[in-house]
Amino acid sequence: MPKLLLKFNAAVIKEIPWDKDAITVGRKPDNDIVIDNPAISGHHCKLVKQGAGFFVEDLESTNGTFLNEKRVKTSGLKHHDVVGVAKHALVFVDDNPPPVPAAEAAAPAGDATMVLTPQKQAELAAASTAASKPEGPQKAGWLRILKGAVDATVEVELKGMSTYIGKSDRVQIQIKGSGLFGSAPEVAASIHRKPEGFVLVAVADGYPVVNGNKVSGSTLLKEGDIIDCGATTMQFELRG
Amino acid sequence: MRTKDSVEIAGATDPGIVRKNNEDNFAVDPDLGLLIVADGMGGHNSGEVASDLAAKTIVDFARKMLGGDKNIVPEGGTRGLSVRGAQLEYFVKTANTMIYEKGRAFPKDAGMGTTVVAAIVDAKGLTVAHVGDSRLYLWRKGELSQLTEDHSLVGEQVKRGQISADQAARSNLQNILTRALGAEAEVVVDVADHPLLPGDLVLLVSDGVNKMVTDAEIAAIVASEREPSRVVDALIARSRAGGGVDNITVVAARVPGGEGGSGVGGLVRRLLGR
Repeated sequence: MPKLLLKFNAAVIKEIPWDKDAITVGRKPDNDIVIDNPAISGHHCKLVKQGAGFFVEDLESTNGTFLNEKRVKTSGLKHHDVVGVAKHALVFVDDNPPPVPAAEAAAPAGDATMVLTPQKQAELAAASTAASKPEGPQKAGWLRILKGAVDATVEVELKGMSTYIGKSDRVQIQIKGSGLFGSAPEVAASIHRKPEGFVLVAVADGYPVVNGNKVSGSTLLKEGDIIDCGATTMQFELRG
Repeated sequence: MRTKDSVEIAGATDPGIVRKNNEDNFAVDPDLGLLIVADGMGGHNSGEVASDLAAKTIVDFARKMLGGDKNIVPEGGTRGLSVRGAQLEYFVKTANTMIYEKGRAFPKDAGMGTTVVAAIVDAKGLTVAHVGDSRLYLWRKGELSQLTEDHSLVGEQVKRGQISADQAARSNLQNILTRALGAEAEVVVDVADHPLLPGDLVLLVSDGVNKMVTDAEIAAIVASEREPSRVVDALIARSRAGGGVDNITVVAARVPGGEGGSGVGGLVRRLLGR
């Protein structure tokens, strides 16, 4: 069932199910939605359901009825339209919006930027994940440190967009250097989460070694890949 | 402008060609290595108010907590962040509260909001915090990578692999954000630390740039200009030439060194330079 959210400033005060053909809004107690505020007319406006369509109609109110900040006499209502009456607002929530046009309708007139409410995001996310089943959520990437760990850490989840590997104490995964002096680049490699998967980028060209091959540029990591950086050996894993 | 360890920084904003008002704001503080770009939204003039408030609040709190020899670490916040990350997250969250409360207190500002991308840089690394679709790019050895994920509807779709980056760039839903400062009482801030290498260039832009100029063009401009101020000017000019439909803001920071590398020119410049 569609519903209306009665808001005052930013706060939602009441949720009203749209369970009849016409809902009246006004200051007087015979209205369906009574808003006791002197700026609201006795019978301020009416919300009407006709067939599959929803409309708002101003009842010659003194201070006017606004749809998305424009004063209207009558107008159709779309999902997430905001009906303004004085300082209150009624947000129309259509739980069964037409599938694709809903997203189109969300694009505001002109090119003004807008913010999506968390609630609507959830709806869109649900709709879009339903639409593209084969994708599924991306698995989480982990590095398990097999040899040459610097501290007690054995496993690191590749949580951020970018994870860095190197000798610097400012990177997420610290490594030990190799050779006589144990030198290693401050930053040897980085792993980036991208739509195609986890990509290892050689920051120091040729220093990181994946499955025995030196990496220059970048390489897409596969489950089980062994990464050598200096004297530290790690294994890439996908979980989730 | 230069930070203490010689990171050269510059920034500028331009209303673009189509819009009369500029809802973008930026701030740079060389003493702190602080860079901010904010892109406001909201009716009347409240977009400007929101982005200005975001930039000012972050600079204010950063000066209070990091200015001089101070290094105050806020309590609470997301676990597992670096010290600088926790500080930056706190500044951005404070800006959110300021904008949200101002929007509630003044009806004309109701519903105002802003994106923000804020970074603290030094010659060794950067910490970035962002909310919304303003971006931070890192240019390293000719390659441009975007270090922030857009909090926009199309950004989320790209992340889930539902549409390609190309489709996103052409989508008519680009202007729908999934997160912004001032929209809710609480905001989730994305914070990340990245190391920097000599010669790296850090770029903060509002969507007036990346809607008009492709990443490849941005990379080419960064590669052809050495000075951050020239990069900023060139990117604004290119965004205007590309249509300029939105406000354009660019802040750039170049880590010293790395120029030319092994080339003779680089060596000569290094010998004569300093």
